[in-house]
Formats: sequence, C-alpha cells, structure tokens
Amino acid sequence: MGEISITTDEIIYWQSGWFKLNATIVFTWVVMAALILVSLWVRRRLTGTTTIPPLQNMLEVVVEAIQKQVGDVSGRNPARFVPFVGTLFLFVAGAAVLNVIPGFHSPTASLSTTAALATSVFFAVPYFGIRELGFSTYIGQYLKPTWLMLPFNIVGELSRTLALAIRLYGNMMSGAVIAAVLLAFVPLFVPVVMQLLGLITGMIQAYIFAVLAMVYIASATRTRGAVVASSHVGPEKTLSLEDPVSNQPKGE
Amino acid sequence: MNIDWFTFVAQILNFAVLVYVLSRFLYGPITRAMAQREETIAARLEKADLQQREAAIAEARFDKLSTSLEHQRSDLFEQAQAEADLARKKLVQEARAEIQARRDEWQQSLLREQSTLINLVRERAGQQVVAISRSALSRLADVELEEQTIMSFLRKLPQFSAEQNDRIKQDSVRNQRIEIRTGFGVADALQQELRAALKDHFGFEQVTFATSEEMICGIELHVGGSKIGWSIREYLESLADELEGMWVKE
Repeated sequence: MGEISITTDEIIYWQSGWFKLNATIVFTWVVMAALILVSLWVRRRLTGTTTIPPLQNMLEVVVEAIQKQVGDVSGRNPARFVPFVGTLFLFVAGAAVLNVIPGFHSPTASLSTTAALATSVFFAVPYFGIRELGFSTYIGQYLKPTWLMLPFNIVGELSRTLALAIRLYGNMMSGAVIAAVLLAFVPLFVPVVMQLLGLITGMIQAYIFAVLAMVYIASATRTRGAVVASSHVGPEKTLSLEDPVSNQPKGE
Repeated sequence: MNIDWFTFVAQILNFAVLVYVLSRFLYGPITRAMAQREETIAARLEKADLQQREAAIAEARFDKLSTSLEHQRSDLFEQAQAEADLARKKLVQEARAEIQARRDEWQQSLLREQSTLINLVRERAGQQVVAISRSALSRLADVELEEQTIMSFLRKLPQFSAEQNDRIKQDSVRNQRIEIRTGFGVADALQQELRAALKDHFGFEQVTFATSEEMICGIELHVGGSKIGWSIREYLESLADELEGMWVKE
C-alpha cells in the first residue's frame, strides 16, 4: 500500500524560487476557468426575452436560488452579498462536481484553500459590517454588552473562521482519503459509489460554507438587540436576533 | 495538515479575482436579464389585462347593442304586424264596402226593373181591363163605359157630406180654377150635363175639361188642392202594391 497524499499542495508541477505551481493552484484555475467560460458563454447569448437557452435557464435557476437563500438568511436585499456568497458556493460546488473527473484534484481538499476562503470570509464580515453600519457602530458591537466581552468576541471571530476552514477542509479531504483507501482495498465499483457520495458531500459542504458565511456577514450587519425588518424583495418578515451560529444547518 | 502560505495567498487572490469576474460576467448580466424578463412579462400581463378589460367593455357594448337591436327588431316586427293588421282590416272593409255598393247597385237595378215591370203590368192590365170592361158592357148591356162613369159621378154628387161640400166651396173661393179631368174625351152633351150638375150643387160657373191618359178610365173634380173622383188608376195602384208584395215575398 503506497503513501496516501492528503493535500494537493505537495503536488508541484513547476517551481521557481518561492513561486510554485502546485495542484491546488492549477486545479483552482481549472475550476475558475470552467466557471468563467460558462459565464462568458451564457453572457454571449444572454437574452431578456421569454425564450431562453437551456444553459442560461440553468444559471438563472442557480443565481435565483442563491439570491433567495441569501435573502432568507440576511433578511435584506441580497444584491450586495450575492457576488461574494454566490462565488463561495459556486467555487466549492464546482470543485466538488469536477472532482468526479478522474485525475482531478479538488482544491478544496487543501487546507491552504479552505483557510484562504475562511480568511476571505473573516475579512468580508467586517467589510460588509462597516459598510452597512458604519465604522464606529460596527466596532461598538465588540464592546457589547460590556467591554469585558471584547476578548471573547475577538476569540469568537477567530475561532469561527478557524472552524469554517477546518470544517470544509476536513469534509473534502476525508472524501478523498476514503476514496483512496477504498480504491486500495476494492478497486472496482465501490470507488464509483464513493465518488457519488463525495459529490453529494461536496454540494452539501458548498451550501453549508456559503450559508455560514452569509450568517456571519448577516450578524455583523445588524445591531445587537435590534429588530431589523426585511428589506429584500418578497414578503416582509421580522427576524429576532438570536446568535446566528445557533441557526447553523445541522449535519455538517 | 499544513498550510502552504504561498498557496494560501494565491488562493485568496484567485478567489478575489473569481468574485470580481463572476460579479461582472455572471450575476450582473443574469440578474439584469431576469429583471428585463420580469418587466417584459409584467408589461405583457398588464397589456393582457388592459386588453381583457377592453374586451370586457367591448363585450358589454356588444351585448347592449345586441339587446338594443333585438328590441328594435321586436318593435319593428310589432309595428309591421300592426300595420299589416290595419291594412288587412282596411282591405276587408274596402272589399265589404265594394260588395255592399255592388249589392246596393244590384238591388237598385232590380228595384228599377221591378218598378218598370210593375208599371208595364199596371198599364197593360189597366188597358186590358178597360178594353174588356168597355167591350163587355157594350155587348152585354149596351152601355158605354165612359158615359156610365160620368153618370155614376153625377149620382154620387148629392151623396157628399156637408163637410166635403164646404171644403170644396172654400177651395173654389181661394182658387177659381175648377177642372174636370177624365181618362177619355167627354162628349159635349155630357159636358153640359156635368156643368149643370156642378153649378147646381156647388154653384160653379166656369168648369174646364181635361183629358189625362194616365187615368186610363175615370173622372176627377179638381178644385184648388182638393180632388174628388174615381179612376181605374187607384185600382191599378192596389194591383201594383199586390204585385210588389208578391215580389218581395219571393
């Protein structure tokens, strides 16, 4: 039984000094290229009439579903959050879908990638919070209910970023490891089933990652203890500000 | 479970690029296309709604017009029927009037023919009666009918009542014309006899004589508006009345 490589960072295709092209970066570009090419392809034949091409129809369904989810979670107009949260979902989901291709190494199975995504969320939270509430109001959130909570709030921010990174990495990496182990024991049929399971897991993780990111951003864009009326398109609803983390979907 | 920091930074950059590119080429265009489609569909729905309202208005107008036309048709039909009834009644009345006129004309014609026939019968009957009477009296009794008629008149003069005599005398005072009218020519001797009798009875000095063929046979004394006399014409009038009665009965 050979050594199982659990991270794609170690698969290096080209290196020059500190600059290197490993499998994580290369397959990230592959995912990016796939997403961008599909977008450009659809954009070229984009139409606002009632008769639309199938691919545009599919993308509209995806974008609309993302808008609805973001709107439901944030309780406000999803337009400004959709590019960030939607890209998180599409990237992770795209990587999971492309993972069924033999020889493809999912970049999300690298802790570097998941940490990068979690770090992006980490910075996106104060970005959207300050943009929505203003600098002083947002910073003030860390001093509530009392300034004594400041260290705990900071630790909470860091820990949830870490948890976000580790959760996605663990799930994606475990799928790859299980597939590799089973391939060694039962080379036929079972790996195919595991690939299917991996695909489902990947889609679920993409959904969870995006929703959690949105929950964090949403919590940062609301003032504590306030009740914010929904401003997104659709029926108006009132959200009580419980701890957003407690609303996390189960089964991660 | 190591983090390759070069890869970490590169992935952050990659993700930022991907967010920018997808925002520019995917979310924006797709969202705009969906908004445009929603506007198109909303406009179509609004147009359809407008057309539906217009159709409803047109339908209501058409129903109203149809009802109006139906009423007009019904009114025209009733009017035409009334006019037809009126025309029929008028035609029936005209036909009845024409029939009545023709019947009246026919009856008038019939009455004329009847009157003509009766007159003819009366005339012929009178002539025949007189001729037979004259012939029979002449052959069987050797007397003249005309002479006996005048004699009979002379015999009846004294039988007049006083009232009749007074009235004739009063008439003669008002109107001096005193005339003896006969259906035949009176001989001079008889004329003298009549003048003498009238002078004795009434005191008439001037008496004229006239002949009337209509009387056929008989003698009459005309004094002013009064008349005394007998003629076969009166009998023939009775005969004519009898004949008319028979005619009507048949």
